[in-house]
Amino acid sequence: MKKEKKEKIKEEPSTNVSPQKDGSAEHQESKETDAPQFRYKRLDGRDPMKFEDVADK
Amino acid sequence: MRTLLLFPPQGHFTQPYLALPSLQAYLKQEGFADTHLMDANIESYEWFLSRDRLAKSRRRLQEAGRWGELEAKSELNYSEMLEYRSFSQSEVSGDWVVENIEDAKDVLRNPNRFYDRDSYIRSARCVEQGLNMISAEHYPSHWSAHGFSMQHSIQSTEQILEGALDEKGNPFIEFFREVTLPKIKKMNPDLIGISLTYGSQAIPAFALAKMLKEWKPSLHITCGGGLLAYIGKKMANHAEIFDWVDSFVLLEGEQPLLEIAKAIRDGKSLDGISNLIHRDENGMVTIEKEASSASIETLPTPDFRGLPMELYFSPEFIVPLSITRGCYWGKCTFCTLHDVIGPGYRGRSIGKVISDIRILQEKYGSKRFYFPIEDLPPNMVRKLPRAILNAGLEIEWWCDAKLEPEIFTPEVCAELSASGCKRLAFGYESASGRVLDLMNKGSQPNSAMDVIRRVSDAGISVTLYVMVGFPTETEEEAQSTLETLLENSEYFEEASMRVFYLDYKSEVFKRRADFDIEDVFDEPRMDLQVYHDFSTSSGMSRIQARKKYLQMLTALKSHLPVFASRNLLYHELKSHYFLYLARAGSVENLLNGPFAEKKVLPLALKSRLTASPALRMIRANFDRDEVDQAIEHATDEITLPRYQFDSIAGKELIELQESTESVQRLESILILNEMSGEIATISPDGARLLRSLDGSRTLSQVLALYDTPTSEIVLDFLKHLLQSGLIEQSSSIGVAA
Repeated sequence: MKKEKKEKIKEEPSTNVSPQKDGSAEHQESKETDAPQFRYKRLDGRDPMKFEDVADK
Repeated sequence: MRTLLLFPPQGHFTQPYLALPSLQAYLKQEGFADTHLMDANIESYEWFLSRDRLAKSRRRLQEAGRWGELEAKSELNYSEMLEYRSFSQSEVSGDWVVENIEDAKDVLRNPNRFYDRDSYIRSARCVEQGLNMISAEHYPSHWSAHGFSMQHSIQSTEQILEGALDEKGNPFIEFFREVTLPKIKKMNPDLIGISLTYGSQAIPAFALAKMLKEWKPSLHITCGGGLLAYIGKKMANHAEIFDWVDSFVLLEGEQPLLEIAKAIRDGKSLDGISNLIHRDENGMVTIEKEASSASIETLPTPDFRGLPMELYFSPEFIVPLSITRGCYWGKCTFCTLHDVIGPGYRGRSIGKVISDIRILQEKYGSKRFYFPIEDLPPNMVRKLPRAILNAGLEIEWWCDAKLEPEIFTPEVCAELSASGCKRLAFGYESASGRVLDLMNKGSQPNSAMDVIRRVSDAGISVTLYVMVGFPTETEEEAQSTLETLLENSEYFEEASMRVFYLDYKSEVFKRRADFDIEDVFDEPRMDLQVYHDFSTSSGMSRIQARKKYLQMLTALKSHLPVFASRNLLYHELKSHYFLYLARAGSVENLLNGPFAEKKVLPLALKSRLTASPALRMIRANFDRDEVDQAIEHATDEITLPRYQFDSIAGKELIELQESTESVQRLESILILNEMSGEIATISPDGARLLRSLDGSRTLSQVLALYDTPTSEIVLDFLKHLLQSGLIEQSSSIGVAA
């Protein structure tokens, strides 16, 4: 099975970016010194060993 | 005299394979009326991919606790990464798979649901996740739609037999014990013919043979099929193999199988039956003489009776019909078909083909046909379409063909299309005339591309087989192939790519010096090795070829919508693509209809944002994306052939353990979107934001929570969530963000 290589969506922000401002309970869990990170990556769950075509026919 | 012809796991799940129905028809024609078929492969999918069995698998995985052990580690080495990938997948999707598997199978089988692309993709993913769960239960064995591998290599007789007895790693032992063996006992045959087509069937087939022999020592078990053309004689060097099975049939099966049946019925020995390997009464292994190739004109129409047609993961039966055997060209230096099918090319008369189609269409009510042949010969390219039209047969069909500029004229292509030809697959291989000459393909790149354009212009979908790393091929030549394909990508829908492998039966192997091959490497203790690694004095190295292949694959995928996984998760399952294509009527209709890129309205600042209600999330101590990337890159330079579905084990695994950098902890959240079946990984901050989206805030209000540089990142993040269906926005007229 062919595995699509995906681009990084966004570089993570540098550490000197201030945290979010909403002050919600959940968001306060972020460390004061760290910028929040918003990574998203789709996983296609396929076996990268199998990326060569396999005839079904 | 009762005969059972059995197709063992693991093969694909979309259609029955043709060999056994052909043999059944032949045996019945020759008077062996008590002949039956069993597709243990599709029955194994049905049994494992059931709500009850998957629930059991889920429980077993939870009780084994391996996921927790992996989560507790401070870093993951290569094999732990493989485990992590498998177990994390089961952890996030396991309950969803159990709840939805029956519905998923219904979608894949139900013509009223199959053609809804979103339902299809979700269901295909559910099946994929189900197989992953069974794999995790039997780790490190791996079962997917495309293969089955264990830690035991199928390049070694000893390891095949070990795998056949491995209760822990071989899921099919349980299946045979619960399902197949009781059925066979009830049937009580005197002769069983096991079809071995794929390498992935080898270990399960011997596992079953062992159980059958224990049950009924007098039962004659014979194995035949394409795989044995490669490994049969080598395997027969181990006389003990005939404690498991009684005989191997090489090449074409009709005549030897009939002779075996007669011998068993009449209580005679197998001596003198051509194309057979067996152990005689004195315990000596005998390889009988090779038979001359048989005429296929007198063979009966295949007989599919007894196969569980309702179980295949396909809404329609695409009838396979072999209208030729062998290849009329038969000169390509990389090819080994002459040794696998039997010598010589033979065609069935067009009159017989038309009669076969009519008989099968009436019997099964299917309009779809697949001709599993090597290439449609020139006389059939010219005459078969007219014959189909004259006979008034309303069918749709596809097959492989050879790029013949003289034959595929615009008029011929138009008639092919009119006769219902929806798809042709050609061996294009390379855009270099020099490489094509070395391959002895009998084609040239420019005239080959003319054929491709003509076929495509006639409304027939084109698939191209492309080979990278043929001995002496330079990187520039491969690059030129890629560029030529990209320039002409509007004329074909799929590129089926592979790296060249050196097959010991090929002309290249026999005349190695002519292809600048310097060294050929044997795998130690792999007595059944078919493909060999090698070095050349010119052209790309094997590693360069592998990297070029990966690069070409990525580039082509991004240009070919059919290739894109958003459309057909299992694009290799060509029958599913063919069905979509036939249903849409044309490639254009398909790309503008079911395969059209989904329009997602851009995020608007005044829209209220809500997390999709169908999300399942689990916390993970490692980031699956990092794990996947590490696994993928670790094998970038592995040049061993994958064709035989072997897992990486032994020396290679140890080397990978040493050479692959460990992955460190990085907390992440795994998300399953139940609407699409898609799994994603996001950061904990991203998950918190996602959970907080309850529709009470607009996009601009969400962005206002962050300072400027972060809000830009958040906006980008939200766009991806929207695109992948993880969030929804209320309809709103406003300014696009």
